[in-house]
Amino acid sequence: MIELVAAFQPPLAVDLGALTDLNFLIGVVGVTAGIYTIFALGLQLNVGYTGIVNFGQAGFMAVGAYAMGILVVKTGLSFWVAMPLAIVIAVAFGLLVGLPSLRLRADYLAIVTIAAAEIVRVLAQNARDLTGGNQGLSCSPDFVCYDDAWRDIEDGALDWVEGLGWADPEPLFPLFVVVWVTALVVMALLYLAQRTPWGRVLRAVREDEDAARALGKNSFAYKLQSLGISAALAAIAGFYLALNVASISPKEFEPLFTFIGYGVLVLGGLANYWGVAIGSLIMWTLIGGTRQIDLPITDEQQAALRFIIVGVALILLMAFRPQGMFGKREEMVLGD
Amino acid sequence: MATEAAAGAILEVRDVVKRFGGIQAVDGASFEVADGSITALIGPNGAGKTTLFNVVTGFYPGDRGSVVLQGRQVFRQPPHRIARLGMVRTFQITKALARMPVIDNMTLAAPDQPGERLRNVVLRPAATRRREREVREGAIELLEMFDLTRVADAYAGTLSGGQRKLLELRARAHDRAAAADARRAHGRDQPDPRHAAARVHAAAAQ
Ligand SMILES: Nc1ncnc2c1ncn2[C@@H]1O[C@H](COP(=O)(O)OP(=O)(O)OP(=O)(O)O)[C@@H](O)[C@H]1O
Ligand SMILES: [Mg+2]
Repeated sequence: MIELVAAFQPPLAVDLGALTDLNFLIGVVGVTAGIYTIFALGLQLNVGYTGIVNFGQAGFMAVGAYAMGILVVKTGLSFWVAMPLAIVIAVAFGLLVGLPSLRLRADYLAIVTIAAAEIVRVLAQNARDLTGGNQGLSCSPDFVCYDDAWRDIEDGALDWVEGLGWADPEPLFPLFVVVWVTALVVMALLYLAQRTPWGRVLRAVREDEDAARALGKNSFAYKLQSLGISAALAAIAGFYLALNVASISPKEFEPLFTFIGYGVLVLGGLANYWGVAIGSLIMWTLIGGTRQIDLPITDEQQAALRFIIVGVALILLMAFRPQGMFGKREEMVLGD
Repeated sequence: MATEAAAGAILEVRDVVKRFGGIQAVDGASFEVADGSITALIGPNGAGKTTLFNVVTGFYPGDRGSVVLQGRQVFRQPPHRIARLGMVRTFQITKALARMPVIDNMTLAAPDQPGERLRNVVLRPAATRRREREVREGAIELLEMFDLTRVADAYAGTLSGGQRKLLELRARAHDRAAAADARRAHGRDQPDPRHAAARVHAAAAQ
């Protein structure tokens, strides 16, 4: 797509070199795509394997990130203790949202999750004492920051790679490695889980909840578990997002990001975990790439152009490969 | 049909009442199903047969009445719990799990698979694998019986209507497997798998 834009506008100076530099590949695309891979893996579990429509993933990510940040900055807890606690809080929030709505038809969960996510974001904007409001949350007045522990590791890692002979290493390289290792581990675990009898029941629930119940499966419990795991993954994505930005702020958790997650699912294909990573890489190359290109238009126009390009890419994909990169065509056409 | 004493009944339904707003769908239905019998419930369209089945199997909570399955009161219990007690049902509109392979449709029906709990997948992998092997064997045997072996790995959604209905009777798989287990355990041919088949027929009469 990027080349296409370039080809149509030859007289304009388009700096394609920016797209191949390490900062772009690792920082702009690599880290973000990895974070959204983890984020969208939860959506894949929900939508692709359980048949539940979770529109609140950005909200679960916000709960995870804010819980971690608040625990470290406001209560002085260690980063390493705050993370598991924040996961527990995000899962509890997921279950709280799921308990009343998962018993109802699928669309109710969609409505309730998107509402819950917006409540979280608006709360974060307004509970300034706790979250720093729109300014965001980063450090306490006596300079305890949520990312202190990570910065130490990052500095150590950068010194180490420099020692190996990489002069002036890309500063986001350590985060890039940790994010993608996490994404791959999560992918592998989900892939294995989907092949167990547990995963088989999940898919049965996706196909027909009542048929699953008639076979003695507690469909509701499986849907809750699916949502809980997804919330945990969103929380983990939220930690990495927090480490990738200067402060945890509400604008990182707009509903838009949940829908980018769905775009990733569509690109990669439903019911395929590896496709999520590829979908996320394509998505963020498109979004990041259009930001890098130096076009003679205003920033707002360029921001809009980004999503036009993403939209066109998704439409083309639907036209030529509706099952996504890795989805199974049979699974799209079958169904009752 | 069978005029055995109530002691021989595996299912006793008494005075079941179910209304939807103003519609009295089931008004005091009572019947018994004798062990080993084939029992049919008949009536004109809209008589409330499906509704009664849904109350008996727990899919609708009944307003009043009693449903006793093998001596246990199951009235208003959730469907998955009633199913685990041996209540096997199909649906008026066939419910095959279309985007799952035929073999998975079969193995899914097996009871007592510890690996259906995430905890056990992690903590009891050996038990999960052992049970899975048994379940698969039973499923393959049944597919042979139904003449579905060739399509074992195909998506259930690609089957014909009749084949799907057969597949929906998959619940037999677990009764047979349970019977086989019991035979092995007791060293005698005690629980007769034909009973299970009769039960399935009773349910399928819907
Ligand atoms: N979920 C529901 N909500 C409201 N009314 C219902 C519901 N289900 C059934 N009914 C009504 O209850 C009555 C009995 O319906 P039911 O489906 O049990 O009949 P049936 O005997 O199975 O008919 P058929 O032979 O056509 O399958 C009908 O009047 C129907 O409209
Ligand atoms: Mg009916």
